[in-house]
Amino acid sequence: MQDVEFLALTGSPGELSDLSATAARAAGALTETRTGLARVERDLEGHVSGAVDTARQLLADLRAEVDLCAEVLGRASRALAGRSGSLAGEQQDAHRAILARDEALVRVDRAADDEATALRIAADPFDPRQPDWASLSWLARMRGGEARADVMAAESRWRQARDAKQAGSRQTASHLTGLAHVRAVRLASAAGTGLTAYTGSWQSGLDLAGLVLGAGPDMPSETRAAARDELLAAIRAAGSDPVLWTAFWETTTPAELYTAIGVTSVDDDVTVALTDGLAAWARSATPSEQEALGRALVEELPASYVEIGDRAELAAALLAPSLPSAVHVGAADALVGRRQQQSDDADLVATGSLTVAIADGLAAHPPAALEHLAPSDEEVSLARTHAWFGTTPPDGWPDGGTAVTGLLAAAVGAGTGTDDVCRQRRTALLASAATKELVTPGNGLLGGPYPVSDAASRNVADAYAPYLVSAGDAVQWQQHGRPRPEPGLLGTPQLAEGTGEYAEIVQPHLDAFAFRDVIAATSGTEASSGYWLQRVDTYLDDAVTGVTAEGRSSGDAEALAEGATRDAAAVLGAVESESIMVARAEDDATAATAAWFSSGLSVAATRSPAGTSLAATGVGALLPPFLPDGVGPAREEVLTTEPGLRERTTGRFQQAVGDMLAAQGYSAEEVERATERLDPHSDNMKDVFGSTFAVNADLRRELGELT
Amino acid sequence: MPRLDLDPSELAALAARLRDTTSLLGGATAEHVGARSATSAAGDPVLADAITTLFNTWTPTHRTLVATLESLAGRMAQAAATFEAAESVTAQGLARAITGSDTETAGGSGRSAGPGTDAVR
Repeated sequence: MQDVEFLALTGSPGELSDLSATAARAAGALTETRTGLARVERDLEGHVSGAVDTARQLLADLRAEVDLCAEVLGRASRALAGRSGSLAGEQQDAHRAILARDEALVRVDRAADDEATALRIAADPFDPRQPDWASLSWLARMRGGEARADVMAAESRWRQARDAKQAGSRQTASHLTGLAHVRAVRLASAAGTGLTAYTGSWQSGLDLAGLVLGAGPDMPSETRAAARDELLAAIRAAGSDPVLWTAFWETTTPAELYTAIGVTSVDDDVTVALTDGLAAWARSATPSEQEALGRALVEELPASYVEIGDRAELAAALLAPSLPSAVHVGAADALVGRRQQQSDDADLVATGSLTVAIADGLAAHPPAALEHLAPSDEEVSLARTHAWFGTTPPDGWPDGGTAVTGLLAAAVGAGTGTDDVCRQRRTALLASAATKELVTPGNGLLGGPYPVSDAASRNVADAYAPYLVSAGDAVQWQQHGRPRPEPGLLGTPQLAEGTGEYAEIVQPHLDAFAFRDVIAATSGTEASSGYWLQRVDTYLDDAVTGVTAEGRSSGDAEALAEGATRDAAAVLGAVESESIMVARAEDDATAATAAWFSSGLSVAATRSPAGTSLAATGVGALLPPFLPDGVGPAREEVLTTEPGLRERTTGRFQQAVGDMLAAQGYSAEEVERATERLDPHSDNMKDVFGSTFAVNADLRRELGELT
Repeated sequence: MPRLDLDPSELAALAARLRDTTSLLGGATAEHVGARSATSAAGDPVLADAITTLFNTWTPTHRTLVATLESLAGRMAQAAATFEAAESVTAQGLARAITGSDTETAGGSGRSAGPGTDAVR
């Protein structure tokens, strides 16, 4: 296939011509067919009926398809015919050069022989030509020089012919490659763009790709800066022509783009143009092509964070949420791969914006988010859960964890909003595993010393809303010294023993302590605790509907109300535990600070989930015996709050059941008796609510200490 | 019922042309333009690859088009024969022939060309 120097150029103009003729015949036949179809179509013009409309539409669609294929084949035919003619000329030029070279080589040999003969004559005093040997030798040498010059000239002509063939072949190839993108051709055709304009756009894309290579690292620094400026200007001017961008991404790799422009930051208008361009490309790309480019955008970043520079920011800007899900799926897979290769803090920081962009992108496509985080392979699911929720930079994600928690919420929403039990199971396993990962000390998204955003708290509350039904059971499970559960499933547990009512959605096995920490870490502000209280309210309202369902016995109603109360108490206790945890952290830090101070060291600030700086409180006040007891007041505050929370939780059950019984004709006294145990101030409800609330609020309540 | 100025022989000719087209189009599919012939013809790896890719990527479209045209050719031929025996061609009959819903009703005396369904605009 490759041409060998000074042999005939490979390729067959005749075969190229045959290929061209094949395409031309098909194009011609299609054109004739189109004429016939148009004739029939005209016959149906002006007639109205369902069948005629259908037939007309069918013919119009068929004609459009015939037009498209005929035009593509026609262009391919012309391109191949042109190449055939050129190749024939190039082969002839090469052939003539070969003949000339061969002839010149013969002359070179002959001149060498003549020169040798002249030398022999010189050495033979009896040879009659002896006096002329010098002249003979000089003439032979001259002829040899001329012949060698002719050889070099012929070789140069051969190379010219070969180079012309190569350049012509590449030009034709780029033309045909453009036509080979069926989706791009269709897009252009549907937009009313003829193939002439299509070819122009394709060439513009190739030119833009050429500018990327021109700004590569091999260029001298002074010309490289100018080439980069030219490239940036061309990107701004490129618009959102899908054909141009298809040609561009067909020939440019992300690594080349990063190298050309991603070394230092670029203006917003350039990133916007590139983002629009990528979106335009995506319209003509297949899902597998989209996934491959998404993967490449991440994989082709430098492995070392030192070299990343602004490349990761550029990749983040390119990965807009509006892109098809397949792009983000590819990018997410690659990002998890990167985390598994290296998850040092520096790399996490360097790829922070990229992580946010990919999480946002996947969250915009909930089914894709679910498939990524909870694939059917459990090991892969657990690994990805760890990568997303158990691996966080020291100062948290740049958006306060909003995007990554949004990804979790989107996946859980997609998995619990379906009747598909397999998906529900995969989602529950994700939730179970994520609960532990999120609060892993130091590395978990919620396990660090930094606060997360209120939006992140809302996302977390959303993610756990379908699983509140398991909150109370989880606390009960672990209250009696059982080991903390590994990630797993509860299935669809009975809502209350003996009622025959089951959870509608497959539930995760929640680690009660981890879940408590998740809630505590996402309820530190008024707004964030409000999100949890809203979800609890919704949950309780739904529970009331179940408790008062038609035909419900009073015993079952009471049992269901108690079950829902325990669930709510678990969440409310965890929300309140934030006060205790802050106070305890302050106490611990105070003791530590005092110890440091006593040894002559100073502490600028201490870690606190609430971001409190102990330095601001004045170190002198921290020294024993003046250490403040933060836990005591916080505990008192929570104990004071508990009755109100209990009343808000259980009061609605008492009210609803009472209304139900009254509607059934029971007297006021009978209703009061029947709902006595649901009274928020009854010992029963104090115990039901308080026992779970106290555990999660971390009150360490004394025996018999009811509120 | 509106009649069309359409000669059944035109339909028969169209059917024949459709069949010719399908055979020529079939020649432009990847099965006929294999990698070997492209390599030998082009004499350049990049061009050979581009030729092969071009015909490969359009092959599914060509196949679908061939199947559609073949099917339409069959229906056109059948309609031409039916119209030959009928007094005239109706728009409804032609439409049914094209869509393949019922070619027996082509002549206007068929059972499904009901009144009020073939109005002239």
